[in-house]
Amino acid sequence: MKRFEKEDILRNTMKTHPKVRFLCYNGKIYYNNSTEEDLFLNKFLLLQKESISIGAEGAILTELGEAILTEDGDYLVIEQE
Amino acid sequence: MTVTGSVPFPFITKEGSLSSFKTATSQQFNEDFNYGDVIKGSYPLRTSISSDYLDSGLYLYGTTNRKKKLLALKNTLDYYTKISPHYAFSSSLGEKEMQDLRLISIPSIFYGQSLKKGSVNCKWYHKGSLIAELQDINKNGEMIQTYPHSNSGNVAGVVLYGEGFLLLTGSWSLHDSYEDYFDVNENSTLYSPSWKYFLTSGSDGRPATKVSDSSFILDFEGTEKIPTITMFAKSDRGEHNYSNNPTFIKSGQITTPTTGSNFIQEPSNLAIKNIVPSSYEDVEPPFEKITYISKVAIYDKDKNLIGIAKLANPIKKKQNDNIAIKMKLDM
Repeated sequence: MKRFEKEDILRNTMKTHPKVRFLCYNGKIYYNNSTEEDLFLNKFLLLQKESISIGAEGAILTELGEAILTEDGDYLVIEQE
Repeated sequence: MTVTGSVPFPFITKEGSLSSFKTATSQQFNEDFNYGDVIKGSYPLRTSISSDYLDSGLYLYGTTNRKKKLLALKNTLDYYTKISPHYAFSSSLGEKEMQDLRLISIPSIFYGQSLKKGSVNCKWYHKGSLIAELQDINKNGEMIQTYPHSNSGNVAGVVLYGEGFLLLTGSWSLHDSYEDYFDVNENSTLYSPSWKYFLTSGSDGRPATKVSDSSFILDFEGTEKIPTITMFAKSDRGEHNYSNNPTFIKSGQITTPTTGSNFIQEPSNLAIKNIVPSSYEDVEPPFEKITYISKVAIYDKDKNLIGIAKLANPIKKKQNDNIAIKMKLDM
């Protein structure tokens, strides 16, 4: 086993320019040609689509409990004590 | 953060400190929750690009949402007027407060520190054919139409590279005959395609008025600084000249250890296989210790193994060779 000397380790920073592509078709956004359909235009989805259902009087039900939709499109869940 | 079953989620209890999630409005916080209620979110957090059509009509009717979004960018836009006069919030080139605007917001997770100057490119397709393209050809934030040739050179909007916003105001028609329900607030009127309708999903997202003949591509490059660490592992002359690989010693030798009631002894004086190549079949070349380095293991100061670097091809090391292996790691 050998120990690194001081000059054997160099710390540096690399500048990168990752390419990004958004394709919008039929109201859905595809990120970098992915086939995932979780990205919806103008909606921040905190919960998986599949885990949300609509209950009585339009209540949004999730596996965590009843949720409210915020102005920004987030779902927050209320748990009554 | 707490854990129920195997799924962690964030939560806040409404109490005297009035702490809440940022996304819940004050009204929701006041009216929808009682003291003692637990407000839960969920992981993973998700985000998406957003495209808002800021109709000038909304300004006239005093809708605050439009004003709020625009005014938040006023100082930033005016700051960049030294780069291009098209950034100006209010000038002879246009009054942004009074114009129909398309505001595209890109969360920083998609680009890192900033968008790369000159990399933003907008393409509008109709039934799969390109009908218009915007590029920042001067790298000064002005989105200039480069296709088609009519109206080519016109500035259709500006990009805020550091902040991740794209403002499009271009209102000239991009197609002679094609019309669709581009305006999100109008589901009975057809409009010609223009840059202010870029990246729209159609009128209020309703299926009957969804824009399905158009598709849009927004390309850009981000800028990210990634810390790297470069390490040189040295193998000097006379070092690393032995291997535990069973093929390192000559075959046919007894390698099983001798054992007794209170000892175990490995066989000593095992002959090392000479792998020095020879030009003659019946002449054995002089013996030399040769090893092949195939991996470098890296340990922390407490001698915990923290990584292994494998070479694509093992390096042959003779007794007199000095070797330095360069390893680079991106964080």
